Amino acid sequence: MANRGGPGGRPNGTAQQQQGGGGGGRICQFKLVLLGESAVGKSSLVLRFVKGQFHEYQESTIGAAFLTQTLCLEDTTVKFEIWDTAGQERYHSLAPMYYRGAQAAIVVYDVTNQDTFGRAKTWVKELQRHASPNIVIALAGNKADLSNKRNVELDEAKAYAEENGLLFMETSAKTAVNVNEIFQEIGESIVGLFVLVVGIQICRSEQSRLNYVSKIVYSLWYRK
Amino acid sequence: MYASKKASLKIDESYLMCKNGCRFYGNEEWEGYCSKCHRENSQKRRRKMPEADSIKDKQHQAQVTGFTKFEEKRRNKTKFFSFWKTPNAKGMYFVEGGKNEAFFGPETKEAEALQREYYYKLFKSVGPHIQIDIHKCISSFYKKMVSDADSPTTSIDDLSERTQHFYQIITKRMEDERIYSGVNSEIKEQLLDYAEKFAMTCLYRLLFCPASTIDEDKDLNIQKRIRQLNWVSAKHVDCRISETSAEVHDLVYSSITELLGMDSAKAPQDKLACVVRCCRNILQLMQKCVGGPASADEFLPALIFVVLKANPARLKSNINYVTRFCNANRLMSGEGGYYFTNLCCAVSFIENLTAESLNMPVEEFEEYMSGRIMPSNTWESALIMCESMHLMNENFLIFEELKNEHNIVVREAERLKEEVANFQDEIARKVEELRKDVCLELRPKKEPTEIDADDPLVADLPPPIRPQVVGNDVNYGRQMSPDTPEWHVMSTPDERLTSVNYDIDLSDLSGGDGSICEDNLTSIFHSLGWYQ
Repeated sequence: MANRGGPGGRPNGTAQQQQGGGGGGRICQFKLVLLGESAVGKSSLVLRFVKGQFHEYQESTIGAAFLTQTLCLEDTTVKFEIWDTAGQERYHSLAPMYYRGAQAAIVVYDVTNQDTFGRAKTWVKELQRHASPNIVIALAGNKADLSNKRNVELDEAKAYAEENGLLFMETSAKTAVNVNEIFQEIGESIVGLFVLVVGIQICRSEQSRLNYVSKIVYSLWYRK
Repeated sequence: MYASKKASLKIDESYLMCKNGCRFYGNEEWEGYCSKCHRENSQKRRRKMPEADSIKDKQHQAQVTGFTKFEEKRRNKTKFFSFWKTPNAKGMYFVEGGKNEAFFGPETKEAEALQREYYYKLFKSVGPHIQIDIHKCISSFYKKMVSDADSPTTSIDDLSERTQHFYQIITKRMEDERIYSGVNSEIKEQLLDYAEKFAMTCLYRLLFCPASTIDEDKDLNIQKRIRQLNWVSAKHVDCRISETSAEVHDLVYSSITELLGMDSAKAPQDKLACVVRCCRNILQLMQKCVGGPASADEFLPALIFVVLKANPARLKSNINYVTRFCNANRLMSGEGGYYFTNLCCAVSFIENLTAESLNMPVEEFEEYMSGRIMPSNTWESALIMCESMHLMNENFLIFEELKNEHNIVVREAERLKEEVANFQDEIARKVEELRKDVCLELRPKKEPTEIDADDPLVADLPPPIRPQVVGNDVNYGRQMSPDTPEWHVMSTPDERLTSVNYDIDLSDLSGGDGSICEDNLTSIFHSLGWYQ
């Protein structure tokens, strides 16, 4: 059982699992950071996901810097804690403080702006190098509704994402296209990873561990 | 028996003499020397000691004496509390009876208050055995920490490690022990928070800005740095605060107050709560300035601005204390964790601030930093030095707004006037059109004829025809009698219409043409859409 921080060390970067009170379902809490240049629509994306709003703000929504949202996947309830980061170039060096201990990251770029895609690439590189090794990274090409002003081709971004093992979607906070989908996919892959890690931890002997991993790999292979 | 007593009293004379052999009597208090030799000796020793060593020694001594003093106080308090605290403890289950309250050193009073507060909030519902268990854990941890902190080999990081370990032990204990089996996870979190709060309040003096670290120097450095940066305005850090709005001012002040309040809170989670309140205020104020939910793009610069203007006391010490001794789970996640991370980022940004990060040429930055030039519109000058100027600015703004509003009113009035004129013209035009289309027949107003009046015409009339009684009809008289209700039905419509008042003033509609016939009037109204 991966309870909240065993005595072995500080619980930095481990997914927290709480056994739901008799309900049988797992509750997982994940930290997700949003990276990307300013004005690519990071916060709009989150506001759309969490509050279903776009430009029609209610008084109660004071900030989009820190938000939480719960998502139900098959037998797991995933609670996202979404940390927004300042996108301005001058605050770039502070980013490691934010993504330290995060289980997932969404790198956002603007499909109408090639520069933001370049920035997104540097973010991805930095995450792969410095963030926790099993962080799930998603690339989101936002403002997909402005496809007539497109400057970043879908295929180009897709190829890049595949090459680097990223989840990828073109989203639109304005029309809500692919917003819930990208969060759902992130949730699924973290839960999958999490189950795998916990399973490996539970296995006592080397042999059972091997069996377990091969079983998972086998099932994944056939699902694809 | 007598012999043995005598023997014990007998002391060798050489034992009493000065160790130096100067033939004066020595004293145990002067390390066996006579007073003169002792003074000389100690002076010699002081001169020999290297400068650095002596400082270190002094510091150590100070620490030790400080601690012994603290121990003394503790002992005094034991006596003191043992008789006046007992009535308060009635109904509350303190560990080891009355001894416990005095145990927690100089912070006992606060610990007491905490215990009392949480008794009603938390322990009343979970029961005494859990309270006793939690307090047992805390007191054993406290004892260990006090003795650890005393030894010079323990670094602050070890203490931090031990504290985090303590939180984990309590978490684990609450999961494993039988007495906690009926407690839900929310209460468990609260219990953990309580343990942290209680232990840290008691250990505050030992763990906050300890002498073994250079926290204090760092505090002074950052304070100096922020003072040097007092010329930085909201615009420099890309922060869209509107400096003139009174509402925004209030929010900036309240967030500054909250941030300053961090220093006076003792438990790490209380310090964290101050940061959270400060940041919520900032978000609120950014919402006012931006006109929508503020994202991190707006929030972080605003926080940096607030930190620069607040220049909180012992900022680094506070941050380090929270980082070391706050439950790591709280710092890694949740709203508190997010805002605290932002604060750390803001401080790190301020520490590493260069001309480049403010988007200004290096020379200008250097000049500002050295104080050779001052920008005209700093926050301070706007607020303190030129309060009246600021007020004037605000009044100007209000005037500007009023002027705008006045202009709008005038414009609207003009428009209304025009509309009224247009309307009048249109009505006239329509009426004219209608008059062309519908053939109007103007009849003179009917005058009621007075039957009894002496009409000259009447004289010319032939005499009325007398009815001739043809048969003896019984119904005749009744039918024509004016007393019967049917009489009205039989009367001519014209007679009834005499009671209708035709005297309607339609001069403004028809151009002063006099009266209009009734049935035509309705049709006009219909066509104008007035008739409802």
